[in-house]
Amino acid sequence: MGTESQRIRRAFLQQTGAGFGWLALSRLLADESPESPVITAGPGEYHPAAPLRARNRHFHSPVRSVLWLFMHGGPSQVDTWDFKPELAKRDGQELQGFDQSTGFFAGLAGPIMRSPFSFSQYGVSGTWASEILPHLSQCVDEMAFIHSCYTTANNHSPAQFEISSGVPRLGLPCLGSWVTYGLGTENQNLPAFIVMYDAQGRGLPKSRSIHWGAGFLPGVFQGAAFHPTGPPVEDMRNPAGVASRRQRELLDFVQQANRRHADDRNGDSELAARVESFELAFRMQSAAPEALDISRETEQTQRLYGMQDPRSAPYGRQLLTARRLIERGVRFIQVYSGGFANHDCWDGHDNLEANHRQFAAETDQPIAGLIQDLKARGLLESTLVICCGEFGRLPLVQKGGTGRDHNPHAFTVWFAGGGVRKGVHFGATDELGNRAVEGRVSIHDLHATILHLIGIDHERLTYRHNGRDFRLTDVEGEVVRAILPDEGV
Amino acid sequence: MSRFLHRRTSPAGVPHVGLTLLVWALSTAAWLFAQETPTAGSGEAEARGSDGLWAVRPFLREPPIMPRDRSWGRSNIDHWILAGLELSSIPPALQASWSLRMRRISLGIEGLPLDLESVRESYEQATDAWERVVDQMLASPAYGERWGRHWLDLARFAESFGFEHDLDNEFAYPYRDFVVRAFNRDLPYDIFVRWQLAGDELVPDVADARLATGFLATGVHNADFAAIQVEQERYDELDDIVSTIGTAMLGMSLGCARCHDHKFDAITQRDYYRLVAAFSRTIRGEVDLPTEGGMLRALVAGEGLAPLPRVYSPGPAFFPRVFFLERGDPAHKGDVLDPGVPPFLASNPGAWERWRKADSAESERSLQRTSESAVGRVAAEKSAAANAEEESADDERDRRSRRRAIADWISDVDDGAGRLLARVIVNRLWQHHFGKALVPTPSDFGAQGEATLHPELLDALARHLVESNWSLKQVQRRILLSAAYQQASRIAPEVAVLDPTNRYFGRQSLRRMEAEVIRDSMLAASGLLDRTIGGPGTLDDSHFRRSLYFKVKRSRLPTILTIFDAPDALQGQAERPTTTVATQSLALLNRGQVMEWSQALARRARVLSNGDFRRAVQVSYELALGREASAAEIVECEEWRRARVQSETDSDPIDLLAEICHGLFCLNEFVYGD
Repeated sequence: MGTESQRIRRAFLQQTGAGFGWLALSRLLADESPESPVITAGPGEYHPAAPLRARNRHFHSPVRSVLWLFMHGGPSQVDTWDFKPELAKRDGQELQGFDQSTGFFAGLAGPIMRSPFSFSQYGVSGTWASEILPHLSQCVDEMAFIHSCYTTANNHSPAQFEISSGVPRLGLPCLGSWVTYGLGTENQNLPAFIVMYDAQGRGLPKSRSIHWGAGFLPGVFQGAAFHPTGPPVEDMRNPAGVASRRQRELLDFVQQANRRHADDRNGDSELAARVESFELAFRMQSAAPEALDISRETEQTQRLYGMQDPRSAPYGRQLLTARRLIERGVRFIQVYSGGFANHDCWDGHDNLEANHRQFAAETDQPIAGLIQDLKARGLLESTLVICCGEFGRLPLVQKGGTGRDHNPHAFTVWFAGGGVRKGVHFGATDELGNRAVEGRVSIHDLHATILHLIGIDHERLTYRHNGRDFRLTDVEGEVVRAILPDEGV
Repeated sequence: MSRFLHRRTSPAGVPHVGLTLLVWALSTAAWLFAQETPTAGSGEAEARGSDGLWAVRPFLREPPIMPRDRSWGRSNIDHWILAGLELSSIPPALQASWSLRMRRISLGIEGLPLDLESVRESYEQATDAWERVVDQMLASPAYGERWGRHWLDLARFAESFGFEHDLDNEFAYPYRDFVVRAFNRDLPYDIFVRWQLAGDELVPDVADARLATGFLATGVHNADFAAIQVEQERYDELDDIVSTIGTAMLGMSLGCARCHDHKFDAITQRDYYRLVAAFSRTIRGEVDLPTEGGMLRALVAGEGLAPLPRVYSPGPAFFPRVFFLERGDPAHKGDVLDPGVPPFLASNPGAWERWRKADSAESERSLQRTSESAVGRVAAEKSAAANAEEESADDERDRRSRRRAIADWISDVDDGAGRLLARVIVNRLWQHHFGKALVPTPSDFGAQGEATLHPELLDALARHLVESNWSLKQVQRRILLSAAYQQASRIAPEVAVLDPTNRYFGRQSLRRMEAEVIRDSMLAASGLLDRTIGGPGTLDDSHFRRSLYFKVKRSRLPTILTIFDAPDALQGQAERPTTTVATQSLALLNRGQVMEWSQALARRARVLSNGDFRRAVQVSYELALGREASAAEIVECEEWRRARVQSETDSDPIDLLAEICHGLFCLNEFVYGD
């Protein structure tokens, strides 16, 4: 079917190649194989007729795909990757000079609370990890940590807007949109930017679909959300037999008329692109189900992703799907752990121990399996994995329970693959893990670093909107060089 | 002088650029001279604000050049366009066929395909045929729905407030209905703008004037934040208001000055916060308004309203004072600022004191002017305003008249930003009629914007708007009657080289219809469209009303619209991008609704043709594409049918006519309208 439609398209382009628009478009669409890209456009220089075509970078990067694992609700840094023995020593003591307006619930911050989890060191890097991460702690030598991240908002949706778009307000394009606007994608049969929200049907993130919105960038760069249950993509059918033949007949009728129409208009390139988009839609109907079909994976692979354990199976299924999409050249994938309600995500206000044990059990093995799987398939270097929440948590107890309130002043982000320096730790919080104090990294810095890792100069990727050249990093952003491959700590 | 020459730089690739430039320059030398003379260092010139933005300065008056070919075109619009084309050696396109023009104006003005009678009816014999069509179209109630939608894009209109909870507002739709009504009744544009800024102060007893303030209330609004964020959230809310006024009404990016002086235009950070200060007490709330149809609850903006409920409300809805904020940060407050306007955006900034006082002479003048208004109702409303003014107490006035002063400034043609207001809106009208604006950056008339190649035409239209009592319909009528509008969109190969992007308007542009028009056209062609105007919208996407009546919930925008680039309603939007992606094709190919509508079109065509296949095909083409099917197309359909009958073995023969109709909905011709 694919070859047939390709043949038709090629014949069509040849027949109608007289117009300048056709010529331009056929050049634009000529390359189907990622091995021999003839790309002339730079970051952001998209052609409206083929806006998702792959584009050049500002400088070399091995990264083809970005996978952002979003731990919704704000995991606690001091209970995962930012080990603070001081907490146990001062457990139950008041923190002098603490500003009660720091967390979400002003006045509800109690004394210092030790981590309910034990910590050990792992790997050559000697990375401290919490007991709730038994699988990931085996991968620490593949990972790079930034312990000194901070944000400006202390509630979920503004902080989510900030970590995705750089400002704690809605309306600006998110990271994935900037990346696909910048670089296009390498598989024209699948969406460029795919979002998979909570696998267990616990709903959207608090910032809802705006968290993958394109803002003022053209809508084609917004994330396509795959529904966790039911058919993943709206309007996608893969007709078989008679239905398929009929759809092809319908398409032939449409395309014949479209060709006449376009020829009459000098082969306008927009019209040509629309003709092509019908063929692509036709191909996508078979490409997408194939990409999403994890039953084609061996049992061994499925086990690697924790699919034998009912707690981790749903998330494991998503990450395995993500790996199949990465293999097929999808540019940006965003996967969420946790849904809308506080108790349905990493938002451990009341009982941090129970909350984090649950969400770690859901995600730990799948993520570790993903890293191993990517590595085994030689995909780790070309995939940048990022893992974080929207903020951290206070080292104090929240009164009325055994949980912790939000903390915008400190959280940990880790990376793997994508050429990041392995086993490195950058930045530090104070002795309680309350505030980033050493090598502080703002969200703009984080974005600058991510763009740098994929070969984009964050100062040069701009989009003109309402009379202003916008950047993901506004007028700020400094690349955290310590996690880059060739630079010292 | 150099700045103005710079503004009219000719595009690369046009032959005889130097000569063209020279002629352009000479031809407008008188105007340039007149413009630049006052800046010759006189104190009076300084006071008159001659350093203001070019677009607040007086309109050009005299045509500097006449085209050689006097036979083309009818109006001064055509003279300007043709003069530009002749200078660049570009021949104008031929007139489009009658049926194409009919389809163009129907989609452009009503946002709907022609009905069958209009397809078949022909005024072609009448000498004033086109004029009659234009007047009929502008009088259609669908006009307000179509053009109101353009404004709602700019006004980032939605019916929920965004953020985490995305709380609904059940009473936001009356603002949408006001906008539709205003366009349909041709409410003078200056009044349209003034009401949206301060209708409650200007004419508090006119329901529409109060509904208009929904413009200030429809932006995003956080309903759940910590105590420490309260002030920041409030400044964000005010920034949304001021930024949207800037882009929608003034074509200026004022929001840039929130954290630092504007980098490119002479708008300082202090100017920004003075403008913000005019809204310091303005909050959103709901009021019950008496209307013809009974009491109507509506979301409005104003002072002294009961704040809307929040999920978590740790602080006041507003702070009476506005501070200068370093880097836009409430933690770094400077001095308290009084309301004011950017001097750069006033032709006489010294008039601020007059606008600030509510009983200004300007208001009197505009009162006299509207007494001649074609819309009698408005004149009466103005009198009501005068009465209301007299009754209001002085101290009350001082507090309440802040937004009114902003409205006075923004609509004051002689001293304020009125000329900018006029230039910006006529540019938008042109944009939607030609798919491309005269000033190519319709929401940026500042230094970062792109200069127009047709300053005289822009000014002729703006002047015409002001002189016709700000009647948008009058300006549109003139545009629609022009030969320029009626050109074909087909591009001759030599023109494709000379003017690939159609900067000189030597043809109409071929453009994909907006999301709403695509959906509404399918419904209209199939005969399913429910034409009821106004009232609450719905989230149920199986409704048959126009797409305008989808309830705009920011977190649940209907995909049938968003895939075709409908805006996300988070910020005002002047131009919709036109993307071409496979998800659009998937929706048209596979969505159940599209198939239902195709079947409805087929049923309708069959009824109208008494079951005859050939005739039914013919009618389907007429309904979907506004033209007759060609002989070849009919043969094609018949062959398809013959092949299908031969190959079909199942007992349930498929309805081929419905498939043909489905195909018509997928055609480029259908979604491009040309």
